[in-house]
Amino acid sequence: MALSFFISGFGSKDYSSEQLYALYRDSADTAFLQQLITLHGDALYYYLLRQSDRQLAEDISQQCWLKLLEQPDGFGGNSSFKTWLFTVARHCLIDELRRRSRWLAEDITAPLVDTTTCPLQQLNVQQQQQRWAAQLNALPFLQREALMLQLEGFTLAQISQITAQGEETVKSRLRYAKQMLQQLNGASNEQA
Amino acid sequence: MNRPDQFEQQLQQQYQHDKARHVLPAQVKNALLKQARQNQARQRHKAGWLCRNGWQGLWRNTQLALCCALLLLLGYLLQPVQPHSPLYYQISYSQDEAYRQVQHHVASNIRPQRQSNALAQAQQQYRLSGEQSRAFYAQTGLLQQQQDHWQIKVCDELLLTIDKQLLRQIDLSADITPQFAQWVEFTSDAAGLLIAIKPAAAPLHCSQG
Repeated sequence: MALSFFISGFGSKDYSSEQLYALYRDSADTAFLQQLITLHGDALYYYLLRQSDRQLAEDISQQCWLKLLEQPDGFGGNSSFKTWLFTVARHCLIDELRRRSRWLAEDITAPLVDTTTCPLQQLNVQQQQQRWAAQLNALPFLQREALMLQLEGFTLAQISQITAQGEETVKSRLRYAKQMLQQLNGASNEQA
Repeated sequence: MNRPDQFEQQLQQQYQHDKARHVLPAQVKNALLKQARQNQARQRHKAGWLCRNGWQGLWRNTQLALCCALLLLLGYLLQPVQPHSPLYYQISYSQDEAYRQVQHHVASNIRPQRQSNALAQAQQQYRLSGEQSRAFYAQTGLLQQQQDHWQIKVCDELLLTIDKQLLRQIDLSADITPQFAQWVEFTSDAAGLLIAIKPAAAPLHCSQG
C-alpha cells in the first residue's frame, strides 16, 4: 500500500486535472483529491473571496469540493475540469447570495458609471484595505467576475461557459471592467 | 511596451500577488480531506463486505429472494384454480315399517354415480310417471326439526328427510318455524327434487288404515 501511494504520488506530476479526477472517481483515493485541491483549491477560493467575503468563500469552497466527494460522477467531461469546478462554484455562490438577498442583477449594458464620484467614495471608505482589492470591489459583480476569470487564465469561451453568457457579453464586461480599473488607477495615483 | 500592455501586465501582477496572499485556509483543506478519507473508508468497507461474503453469497441471497417471490406468485396464481367442489342434490331411499316410502334429500359434494343409483332412478322415474302432466307438484306434510336434519311426514305414505346443507339451497318461506311441528306445503319438480317449502293453508287429514 505504501508502495502504491509512493507510485501514485510519484507519477502525479504527469496527470492532468481530468486524469486526476478520473482516478479519484474510480479509486476514491484521497491522494488524487489532494492533488486536485492543490492544483485548483487556491484559485477557486480566491475567486470566491473576491466575489463575496472570507466566510462565504470558505463555505462555498467546501460545498464545491464536497459535491465532488458526494457525486463523483458530476463532471461529465464536456469542458476542462477547472472550468467545470468554477461553474459549480459560481452556481453555489449565486444561490447562496440569492438566499442571503445579496444578489442584485446588474445590467451589463448600462453605461459606465461616473468614476469620479461613487467609486472614489468607495475607495476613500476602503483606504485601509489594499488598493487592488478596493478597486476590484468597486467593480460590479459581473464585470469583476469576468476580469477575475480572465486573470485566472480562462479563455473567452471558457468564461462564456462558466457564466452562461455569450462571448460578446463577456468581452463587454471585460472592457468595462478594465476601463473602470484604469480610471480608478489614475484617480488613486493622482490622490497618492 | 505600449500602455495597454503595461496595464494588462500590471493587472496580472496585482492579481497573482493578491492571490498568493489569499490561499484556501488549511482548516478547510483538512476538513475536506478528512471527509474524503471517511468516504474512502466507507467504500472500502463496502468492498470488504463483498469480498468477505463474496459475489456467490450475494447471488445465493438473490436466488433465495427470487424463490420466495416465485412461490408467492405461484400461490397467488393457483388459489383461484383450486377446484371448487360443487354440491350435488342427492336423493336416497330407505325402508321404514311405518312409511311406505322414505326419502333422504341431501346436498353432497360426492358426484352421484349413475350406475349404483340406477334402481333408485328407475324407481323415481316410475313414481313420477303419473305426474308427467305437471312440471311441479305440491304436497302437504308435517314439518319437524330434528337434531341434524328436518323431516316432513306425509301421513304414513312418505317420510322425507332434508339435511341442513340442502336447506340453504331450497326456497324456504319466512313463515316456517322449524322449532315447532308445522304443516307445510312442499313443492318438488318432475325429478322429485325439493324446490320450495311454505306453510300449508290447511292441515292434512290422513285416512286411517
